[in-house]
Amino acid sequence: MTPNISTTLTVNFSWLVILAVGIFGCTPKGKTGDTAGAQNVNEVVPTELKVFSWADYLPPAVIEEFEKENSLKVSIDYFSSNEELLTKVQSSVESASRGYDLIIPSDYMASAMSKMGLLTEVPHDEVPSLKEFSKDFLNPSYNPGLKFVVPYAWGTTALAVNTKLLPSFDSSQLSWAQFFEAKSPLKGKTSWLDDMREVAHAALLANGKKWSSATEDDLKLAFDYLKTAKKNFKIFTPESRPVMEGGDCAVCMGYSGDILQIARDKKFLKYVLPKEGATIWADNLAVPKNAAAPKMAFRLINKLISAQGAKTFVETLLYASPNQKAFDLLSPELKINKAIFPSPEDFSKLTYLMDRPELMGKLESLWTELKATQ
Amino acid sequence: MSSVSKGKFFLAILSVLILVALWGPMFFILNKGASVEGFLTLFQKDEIWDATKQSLGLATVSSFFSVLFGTMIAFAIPKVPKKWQERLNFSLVFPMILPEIAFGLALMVFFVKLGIPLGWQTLLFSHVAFSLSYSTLLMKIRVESLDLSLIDAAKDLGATPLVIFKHALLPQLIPSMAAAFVTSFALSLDDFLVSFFVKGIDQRTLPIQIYSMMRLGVKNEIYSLFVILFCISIAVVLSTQLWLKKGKKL
Amino acid sequence: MESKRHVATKKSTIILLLPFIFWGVIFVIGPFAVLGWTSISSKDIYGVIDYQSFDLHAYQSLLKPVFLGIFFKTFLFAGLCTLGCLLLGYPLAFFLSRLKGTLRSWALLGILIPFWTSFLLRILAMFELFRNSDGSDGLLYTPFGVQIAMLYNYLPFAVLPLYASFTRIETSCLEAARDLGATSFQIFLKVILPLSQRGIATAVIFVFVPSLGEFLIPDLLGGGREFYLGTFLQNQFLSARNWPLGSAMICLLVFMSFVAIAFLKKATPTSASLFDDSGSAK
Repeated sequence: MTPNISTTLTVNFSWLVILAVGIFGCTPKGKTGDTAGAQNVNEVVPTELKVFSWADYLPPAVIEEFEKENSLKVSIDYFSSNEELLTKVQSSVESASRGYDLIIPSDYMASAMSKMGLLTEVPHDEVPSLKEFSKDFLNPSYNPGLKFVVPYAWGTTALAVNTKLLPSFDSSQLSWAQFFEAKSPLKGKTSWLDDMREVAHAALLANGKKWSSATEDDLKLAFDYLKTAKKNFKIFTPESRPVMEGGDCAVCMGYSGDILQIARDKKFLKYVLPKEGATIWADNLAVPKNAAAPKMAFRLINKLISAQGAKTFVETLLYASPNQKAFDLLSPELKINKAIFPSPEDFSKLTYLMDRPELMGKLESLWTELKATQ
Repeated sequence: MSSVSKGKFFLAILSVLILVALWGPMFFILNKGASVEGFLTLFQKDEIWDATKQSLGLATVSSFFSVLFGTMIAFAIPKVPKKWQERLNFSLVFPMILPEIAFGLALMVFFVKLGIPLGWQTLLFSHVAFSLSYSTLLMKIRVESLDLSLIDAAKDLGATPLVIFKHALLPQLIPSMAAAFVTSFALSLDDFLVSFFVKGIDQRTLPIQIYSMMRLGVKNEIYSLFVILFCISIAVVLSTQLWLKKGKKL
Repeated sequence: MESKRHVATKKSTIILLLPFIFWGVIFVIGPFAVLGWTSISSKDIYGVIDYQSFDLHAYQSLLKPVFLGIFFKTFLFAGLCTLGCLLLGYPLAFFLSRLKGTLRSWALLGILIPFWTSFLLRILAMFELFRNSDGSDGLLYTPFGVQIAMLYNYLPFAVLPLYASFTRIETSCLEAARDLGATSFQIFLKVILPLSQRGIATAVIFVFVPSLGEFLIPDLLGGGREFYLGTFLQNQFLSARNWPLGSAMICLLVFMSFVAIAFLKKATPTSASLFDDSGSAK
């Protein structure tokens, strides 16, 4: 190749590259929505709201109504664990990119996130529906005075029994110990929730320990117990609904609303609160620090927790809502459903998994070891 | 002689079986997806079309740059001292072999550490990055077997460098550039792991959309989508083959 | 005149190489350097990395039997997949190379088209196939099912390099061996096998190393029962949020890949360079 040709080649290519970079670099990528820069998004009239949520956690009817009322689009991304939520939100805040407008952290994650300074304070006057809340939720320990988050839903993490696969099984005495040890007829047919804290708590309960007073040794004990128990389980899953629907699972660990949703169609599925007790958790709505449209986000929050919105939520998704007025509007069958609204007797057995940062390191490494064990 | 034909027969049967096994699952899904309701639901789901548009746009742009840069590098390699050539070749091939998840995670940590916001830029750069190896190698093969006589002839006839480039060099390069483009395009369109880790919040490519739909429980729309994508892949591969064949005949 | 030529060539070469240098630094060296740095840093309880620290804790953890076990299991897993791909792919590739004309083109298309369809959708196909007709799980969530899906996915990666090296073996060469009185088995052992060494090595590299990091198949089809490197890494970075440990694992993985490639280069003495033309067989 003579020098003339290669020089021409080089020159031509260089021009082409500069041209290309110029064209593509300057054109805002319309395909990806309003990403011309978070600052450019018109806060007064946003066209899109980005939500990061658990799968199927926002009643479509309420979202559609909100979209119409405010002439915008709500697009929802899904995460399957609080840790995934934290990672994504943290890295987007750290790298100063445009963040989600609305996220749904659970109680302990809300507490962690507010401590890490990732959340925008809640302007109580812009969220009037808070006045309709039951007293129990106005000052939770994970978020005093509801400064950074707004409670959205609460529920329990319990077990779903497949009465078709276990026709003669007495589920009234079902315990976490029974579930984990999975002796016949449960053997090889149990599914565990892929959630570190839930499984750890259940294992602690099965061994007579409490979350609030657990020590590192207690955790080690619980996980050694789990490592042995793992031989008899079927599957780890972050999403229990497809597994319950499949009908192959005799006893599945799952969130209360998920269980009840599937039980609506698959009548053979039964919600059972284990003997030793269970977790009660609360999911909250929050607006991250790098949200592009915080005002609109709080408007959506208000709509979701309003009496009507919350009522639709409970009816569609079968989780409980902290809005007292919404509760009053519910049908009698829903009001007396112990799976959604536990009795006072059940309540005494339920525990919130408060944030215990000093245990996290040990917990995480034990969890990884458990997952790696055969 | 009979042992030869027996061997051949055995090979033939085995090969056919494997090919059937390769295509079986796809036909199975094609069958499931070729339903009217599947298509109807598919057309209603906005997010799928949005994701498709994003993926197609991303694939086109990243493939363009991938082929451009790949060609440039392919021309540069023969000029580099022999000793470095082997190292260059190796460093080009190595990312092709590396597990994608390692690449994706490394890129994510890199961007976060440098404070580079995760968005369409990082996504684009990453896509160009992983397809560059393939483009370069494809172009390198072509450059090595370039017919220089054409170029010399054109020079002898007194043509200017630009004309030589356009009429003697470019036509020889185009089939390989097309192949490189199509390869990069398919890689980009199909990529999940790298995209998953380096994308920003606004980006949702098709594989990521499919993954989240699968996580929730498979539904009919995905099968119908499969039918459409499959037809497109066939069309692309067939037309590329036909076009290349035509080129060879000339 | 000579020096002018030389200078012109040098400058243009450098400009042409610019994308490569840019790419090499930003996308290969940079990220893995940062990864290495992360692996020797410490993290706080919330997962925030302190890059100023020096902490070999991650590497110490790696040496624990549990994690070495993950490595070992993944190696076995990838090895099995490679073996299977070779066993199936070798005869197939050879057969393809003996076909003529349009039949060969069509057969090649038969391999390429599945290769070009979306990976995720092919996994979906397997997902549905594994499931029994009554909705129960069948092959789903079993290690066996996962291996089959791996074979299904990686077979073309083995077939293509093998095919490329087989096309270099002239049929006349085989016929000559036959005329000299060799049996089929002898032909295979003494002629075909040695000549295809490079193809085999390439096929092994292109299947073994990527399958070490395979994540989607064990995750979607395996139900999280088996913890391989790929699922472990995703877990460490997203759920357990232990980036130093995850980074250390990746560094180890990269190191292992180098070792595997070096080993294969040594084992194939006939190849001048393994990487001279390992592009696809288009």
